[in-house]
Amino acid sequence: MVPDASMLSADERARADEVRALSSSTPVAVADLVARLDDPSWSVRRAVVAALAAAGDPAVSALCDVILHRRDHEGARRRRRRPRRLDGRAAPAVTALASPDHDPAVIADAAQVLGRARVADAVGALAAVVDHEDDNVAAAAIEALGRIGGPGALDPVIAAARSGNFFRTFPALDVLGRSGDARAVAPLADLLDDPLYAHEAARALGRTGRPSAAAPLAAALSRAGDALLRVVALALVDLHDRLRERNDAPDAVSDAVSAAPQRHAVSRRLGRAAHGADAPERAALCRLLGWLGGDDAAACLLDIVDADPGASRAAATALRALGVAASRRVLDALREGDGARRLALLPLVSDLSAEGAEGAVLACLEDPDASVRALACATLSRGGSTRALEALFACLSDPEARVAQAAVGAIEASGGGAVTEALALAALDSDDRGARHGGALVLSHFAFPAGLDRLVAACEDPDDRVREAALRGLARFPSDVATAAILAATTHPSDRSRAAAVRALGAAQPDPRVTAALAAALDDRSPWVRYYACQALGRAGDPRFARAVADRLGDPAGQVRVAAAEALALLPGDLAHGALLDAARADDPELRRAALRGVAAAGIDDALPLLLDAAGASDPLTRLTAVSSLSALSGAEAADAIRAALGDDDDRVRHAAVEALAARAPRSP
Amino acid sequence: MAEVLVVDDSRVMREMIVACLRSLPGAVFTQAASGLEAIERLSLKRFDLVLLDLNMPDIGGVEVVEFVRAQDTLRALPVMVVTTRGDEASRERVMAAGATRFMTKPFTPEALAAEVRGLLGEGAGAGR
Repeated sequence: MVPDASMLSADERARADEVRALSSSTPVAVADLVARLDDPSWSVRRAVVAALAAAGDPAVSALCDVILHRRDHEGARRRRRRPRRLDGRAAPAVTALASPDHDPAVIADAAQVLGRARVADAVGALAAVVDHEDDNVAAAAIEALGRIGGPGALDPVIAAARSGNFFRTFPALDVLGRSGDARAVAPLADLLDDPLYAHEAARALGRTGRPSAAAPLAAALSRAGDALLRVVALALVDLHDRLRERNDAPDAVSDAVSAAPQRHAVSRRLGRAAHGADAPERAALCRLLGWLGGDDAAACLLDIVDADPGASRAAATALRALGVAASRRVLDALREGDGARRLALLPLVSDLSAEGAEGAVLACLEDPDASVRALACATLSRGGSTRALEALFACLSDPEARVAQAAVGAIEASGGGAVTEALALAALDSDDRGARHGGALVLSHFAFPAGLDRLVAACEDPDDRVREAALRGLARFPSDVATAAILAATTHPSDRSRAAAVRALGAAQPDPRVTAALAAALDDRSPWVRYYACQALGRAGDPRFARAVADRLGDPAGQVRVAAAEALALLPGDLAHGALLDAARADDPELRRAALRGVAAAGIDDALPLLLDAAGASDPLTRLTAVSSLSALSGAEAADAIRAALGDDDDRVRHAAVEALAARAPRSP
Repeated sequence: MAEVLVVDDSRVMREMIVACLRSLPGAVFTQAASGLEAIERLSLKRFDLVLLDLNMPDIGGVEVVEFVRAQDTLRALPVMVVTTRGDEASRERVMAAGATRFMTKPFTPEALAAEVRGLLGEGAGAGR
């Protein structure tokens, strides 16, 4: 027990600290604690009492003495540590203190101790003081009976709940709710109409987890005010979830709610209560509306979504449970609503084949808000008709890039039938560059045979993005025509087009024309062209280009140097490996790390000393790379270095060492 | 609208206090389960009244009162201590720390509501 520090003088605080130390010793220094029961400070004595109470049997005599004879006893009630189990002499001794003959403060203390220690034999004594004239005693006894539990503890608590005494009824509600006993339901239900107790009674009914609690709570829906209605909704959902968890009458709550009298009025009341509700309350109200069903419930759910798009998930679940009628309302609201409502409702449209669904979503493509248009495109990706495809292609010309991007995504998700092919080809003829770009992307994605010539032509489009999309698509055609068009683009005046062309060549079948163009691209003025050329030549695996790629290790652009090191790791032969080993000793940390990865991946014999050296580098990222790369090497030295890295100062290196050891494990003897 | 902060480590006691005051027109209740939580909430939001238990984990009620009185923006905020510690020494210490009222448990709903109504009338808008 730590006394309220602000109530202590410096001397008192020092003595309280000594008490704390004595109570923490093993075994507890009972004699020393007892000696301090005469401390002049009430707060210090309180700490002593708490320490003795926590000590269980060894301290019981002292504890009983102080509870019985000292006036300053409150510490015994405020212990924070869970008390040791009271048994042997302790439980009966403390139980005796709970007799109505003692001072009220003594009884309250004893009740607290017995409750916290869950002394089942004390139920009789505690029941006897539940109707003690002192409210604090009664409340302590009720709380103690709640902690102890069991059938015998419940009757006095039910009596207290019905007493009409605020300081007894209220604690009794909490105990009844936690009891989970069917007998608790009736007294709790009786208090649902008393404004002083209704909220706590509703919560307690939910907590009982008894099927019989559903009916009184559901009945309260037709008469409670907004604030109580929110509490009742939470309680019903709590009850529902508890019953579901136990598979005990799992439909009791939903059945009780749907059977509520005046369902239409109840729906409207629930909808009204949602205004001003917090998120958990709103979610509960949505679930109730879903159970109630009908047009009114659907309308209320839509209002809730309008007021708070954050409630969409709960409302969507409820609306789905409501079926066709709700779906029709959602679609009407989509057609007629503003941008905010549409943003909230579009995620609720799951079946575009439902009557009116596609039309409602298509209407959203005309919304002035680009976020709505993009979301409508994404919604249409769930499947749509020719009409929907036409609308999506029209969106390729949208001035907002995110809308056009969403339209392309939706078209690509449509599967690529004849209509898509025809519309994509037509888009390439558009005067609008966005439409041509989208058309090229779609043709590239599906690689329609009829698209080849059009993509070749698009390589001369005045727009950079269209040419890039066309070149990307041509890489998917295993045709001389396509390769020739890509090769031609490697000399295009635009840096972006040359980079796109060289990148596309990396995916083409390597032939002498291709590799020659890639080798020439290593000297291009654009770093990104040189970068893609390194990548492509590495993938081609032709050792004749090792020298040219190795020369790029000295490229002024960092990304090119790294790409060159990665490419050399893929090229066979001493030249490539020698250059890679040199790069692994470079001062440029990024190049060094790429080369270290490369020498390990290529299985170069001389890799081990380089990696061991790098494992001791001052730069943690280099150490991390070395440790990770060592996992590819067998042998005791590699294993030792990885184990040593388990003690590295840097978290990332230690983590890499753990992963490296795990990766090596299957190879261990 | 009156913002009331109810601070007590017992959930049941907090709900009892709220139940007593629910009928006050326009009262909005925020609950804190410890002195530390109370101080956090007082730092974030303006309150018109604090109802405060004394014995709580971490920071006790007296320290909360002292914190309130040390803040320029909270100095005039009414703080009513509601405790089972009805002895005169406790009352003197709490009032010396700067509490506005001192009420012992048990209380009747009517008595608590009357005290709070009086305090809200006296000090409405005094907090941050």
